[in-house]
Amino acid sequence: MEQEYRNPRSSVSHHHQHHHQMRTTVPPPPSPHPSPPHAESEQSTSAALDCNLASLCDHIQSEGFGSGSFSDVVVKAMGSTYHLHRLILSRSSYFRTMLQGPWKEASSPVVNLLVDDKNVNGDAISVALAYLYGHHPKLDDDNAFRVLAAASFLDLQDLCAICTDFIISELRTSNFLAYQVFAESQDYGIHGDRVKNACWGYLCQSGAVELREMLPKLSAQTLCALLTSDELWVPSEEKRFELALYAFIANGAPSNSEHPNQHSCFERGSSFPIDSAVSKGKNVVDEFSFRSLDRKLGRLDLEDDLRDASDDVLVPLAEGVTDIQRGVFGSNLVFQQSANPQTSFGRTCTSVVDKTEGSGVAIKGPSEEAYHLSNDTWLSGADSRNSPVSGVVNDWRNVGVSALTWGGRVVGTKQVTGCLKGKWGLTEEEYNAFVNTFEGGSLLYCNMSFEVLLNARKQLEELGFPCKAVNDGLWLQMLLSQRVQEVAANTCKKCCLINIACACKQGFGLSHGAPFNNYYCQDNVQNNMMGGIETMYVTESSQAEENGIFKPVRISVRGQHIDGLAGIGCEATFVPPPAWPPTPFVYSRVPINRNGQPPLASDGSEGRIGQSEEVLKDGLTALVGLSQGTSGVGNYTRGDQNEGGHSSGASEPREHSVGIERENTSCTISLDTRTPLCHFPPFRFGVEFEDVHRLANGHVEHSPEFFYAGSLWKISIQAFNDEDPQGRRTIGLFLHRRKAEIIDSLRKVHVYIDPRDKVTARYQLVCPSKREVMLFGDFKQRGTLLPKAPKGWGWRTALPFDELSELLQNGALRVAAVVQLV
Amino acid sequence: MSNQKKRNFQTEAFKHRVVVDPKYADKTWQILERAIHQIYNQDASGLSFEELYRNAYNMVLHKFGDKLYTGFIATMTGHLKEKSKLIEVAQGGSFLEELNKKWNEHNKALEMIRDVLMYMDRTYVESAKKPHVHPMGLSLWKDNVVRSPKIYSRLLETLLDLVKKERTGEVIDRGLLRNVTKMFMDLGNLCIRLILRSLFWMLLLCFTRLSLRSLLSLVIVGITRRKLRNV
Repeated sequence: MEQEYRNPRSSVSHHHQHHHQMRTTVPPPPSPHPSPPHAESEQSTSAALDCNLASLCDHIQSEGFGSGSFSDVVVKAMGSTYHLHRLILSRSSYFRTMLQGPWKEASSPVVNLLVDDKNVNGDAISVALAYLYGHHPKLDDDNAFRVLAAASFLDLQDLCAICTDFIISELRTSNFLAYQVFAESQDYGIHGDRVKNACWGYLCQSGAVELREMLPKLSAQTLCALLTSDELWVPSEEKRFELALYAFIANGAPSNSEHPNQHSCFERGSSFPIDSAVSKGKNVVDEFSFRSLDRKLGRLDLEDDLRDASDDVLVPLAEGVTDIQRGVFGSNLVFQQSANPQTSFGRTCTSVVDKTEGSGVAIKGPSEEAYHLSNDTWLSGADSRNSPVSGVVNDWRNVGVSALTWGGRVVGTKQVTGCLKGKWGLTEEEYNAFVNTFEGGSLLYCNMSFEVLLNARKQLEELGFPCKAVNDGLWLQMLLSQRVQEVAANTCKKCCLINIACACKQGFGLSHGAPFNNYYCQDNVQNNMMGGIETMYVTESSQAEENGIFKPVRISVRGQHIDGLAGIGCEATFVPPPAWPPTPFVYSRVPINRNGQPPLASDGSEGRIGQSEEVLKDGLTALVGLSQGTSGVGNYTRGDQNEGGHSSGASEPREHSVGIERENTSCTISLDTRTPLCHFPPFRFGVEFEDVHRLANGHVEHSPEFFYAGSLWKISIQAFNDEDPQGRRTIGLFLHRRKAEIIDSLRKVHVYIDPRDKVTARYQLVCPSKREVMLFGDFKQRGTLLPKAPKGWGWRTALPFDELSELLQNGALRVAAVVQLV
Repeated sequence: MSNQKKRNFQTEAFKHRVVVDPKYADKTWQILERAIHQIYNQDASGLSFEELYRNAYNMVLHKFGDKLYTGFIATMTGHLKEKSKLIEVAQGGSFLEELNKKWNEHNKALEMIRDVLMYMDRTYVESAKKPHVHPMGLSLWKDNVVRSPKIYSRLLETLLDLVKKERTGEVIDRGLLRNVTKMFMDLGNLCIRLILRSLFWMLLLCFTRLSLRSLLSLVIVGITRRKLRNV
């Protein structure tokens, strides 16, 4: 671990060294001194030599740069004229090449420098040229990056390093943004990268607090990377969500107020494309606080409106519009949402409306009667028109509307994004970044408490996100709880190993395997599944037990594009590689097996059998109590591969990932109880230690505890003066785990107990700072058996005291932790 | 409401600050491409290093390093293909001379191009983990000229021919032979090995009566002992 964080630092100090060497050796060696035979004379000579050198430097600086005596080249740059010397200029490889090669400038007495880089100004050029003559640069907040840019242009690597050091040491909340933009938008090579890294570290450390206001001003790329990064210090997943939401709203704010009338459409139907000319006529409320009221109002009129809307849309439908059902739904959506006049709506939605997404939004609202009503109404209304609708489905598919990825799922066409862009002033990139943040599985919803999840879901819905990831989060949470308790029950008390691997007790395979097989069979039967696959399943699982390895059977990983769980595990193009292994959220692929497809051929899942959908729907409703709109859920089928011939309910196009996910949810509830723990998302939390400087030797400071997977986790720091081989005082960093206790007052659904004394986990402690982001531990490791509480496990020499000043933010040490049971 | 308030404080400038003319990269690259042509056509004396370096610098600075790099490779490849055609048509004895002449020209051009692309070499090439300009230029020469099918075998034959002539007492241009063998050295170990291996077998076949050692020592004029051992 030491190594990991020492390296970058040593490279920094190397820069210093290098620089000093350069500065002392650069003046031309005053050669003809014969090497003195005696030590004393050597000393005196070197003193004389130093004196000589100093006077040479003085001479060069004052005579050369100052008054331009004996100048043999004139440099004109940024409006100034410098009388300079080829010999001195040739210290820079830029000038050396220019004055030496077969170029026009080589023989010209005047060199005209044009600098296009906006960061460079005359002053910076002058500082850089003076540096060539031995002047030490005077840097401040205003000119440091300008000098860096000039030095980079003139290829003065040492000056670049000086500037970078200065910038990093002076990085503050006030100038952070300027440096971030500076380093991000241009490529200044390694120096730019150093600034960028420092900004990143600083952002990770302070992004949740001090730099919060800056977040909306960051580029979408950086923001998304930050919000999804394990390195970001943020107290909890909930706070992370709030941060992301804040950034999203603040980001969209400017244009939101510019186009208030489009706002509500956005918030309702995420994918509802709007002809802005039409929408402008609408009477819309754009305040967040008014939304629910608005919606309630809308609901009252819903029933009537719906029919009207459907009729409206049927006109274009009959006219052979490309995608009728989408249109139908779109109209429905809008009617549901508000009492907006629908005058020209039918025409509007001849452009492609993504019905599926729209339905997602409509259906998954908070459970209120009116919603139920509306959906039922709609369905009954739509049923009568089902035949023409389903007739068109295939046509539409054949047309091959170009699909767009939406949080890892395919939804509709570009207009989806175009619409959002228009309303929020987000570019497609920004928008995708946010979709990816909220829905890409990088926010670990499963680690939020139920109440928080509900809240998150509500907010996301209002913003028009499909909330897949949130729903999955809940499922994952339940599964994890199930799984942890199960593993705990199967763990040998003596050796803390899973029973299979435990030598203390035998016969696990039988006792464990049988009930499970039954379980699966039952489940499949119940779901009216095909018999063959059932068997397949059983054999698979029994194989696994024979092998005695607790590995992910029935799990398929599909590279980047995992659509099992709403985009979980999907990586957007610019998201940095996930901190946990690429398969983390591998979810059971049983549904695919069930359809007789090999696990990896995920795209092959066909239309589902209606009945299983019903089952799933019930499950959802019963368990979550949220899916009041499930009547629609059951109707989704994949949009791209349907062979037709499905039941009437299955006729609406539905992007396949959602379909699969639904399927998954329906059966994974039971099946996935065997997903290995290490495939669940890790748990992240952040703690802060105040006044670390004052920590006395041997003294320990503990963080609050966080609940995850049936255990309570915390981090402690302890000061040592006897651990470091070099005798420095160090701070140790430890992770503690104890089994959860349920206090009645705190009793919550999601709190459960993992009764084991010791658990195996892999974990990583992250100390972000502008110097660097220090990582302790490795998420690729197999896992560490954590000692029994109250003992912790960690690094005794994690941070040397003398480097603390660079690592603290306002005297506080921030540690982010990523933990995952294995 | 709070959103609206906040809006006033937002410095929009920060969000999309660098607005680059969409044709910027193309325009800049055209300047550089023209310069590379000029360099290869031997009329580089009027070229301004300041201008070219600045343009290349700006391209990399604005993250068009990739375009610059691929453009440089494509342009150079084109020129080398032309050159290899010129070498191919050279008749008889002038073949080796032509090859040597083009090689020298290429080297000079490569040096100039490397100077112009100095910043790319330092930043983009490093971060993208690609070969630097100079080695890249050499390997392009190797691939497009030395190893082009019509040249490679003829080159070997010519070299062998020279050796044969020397053995039979004729006077050959040792300097030329040295330069060509030096080219092989510059092109790196792999090339030396390839050439030597083919030469070696051909020598074995053709001159079994002659002492191998003397042959080799003649062919590999410029190659030091250490290099020889490596082979």
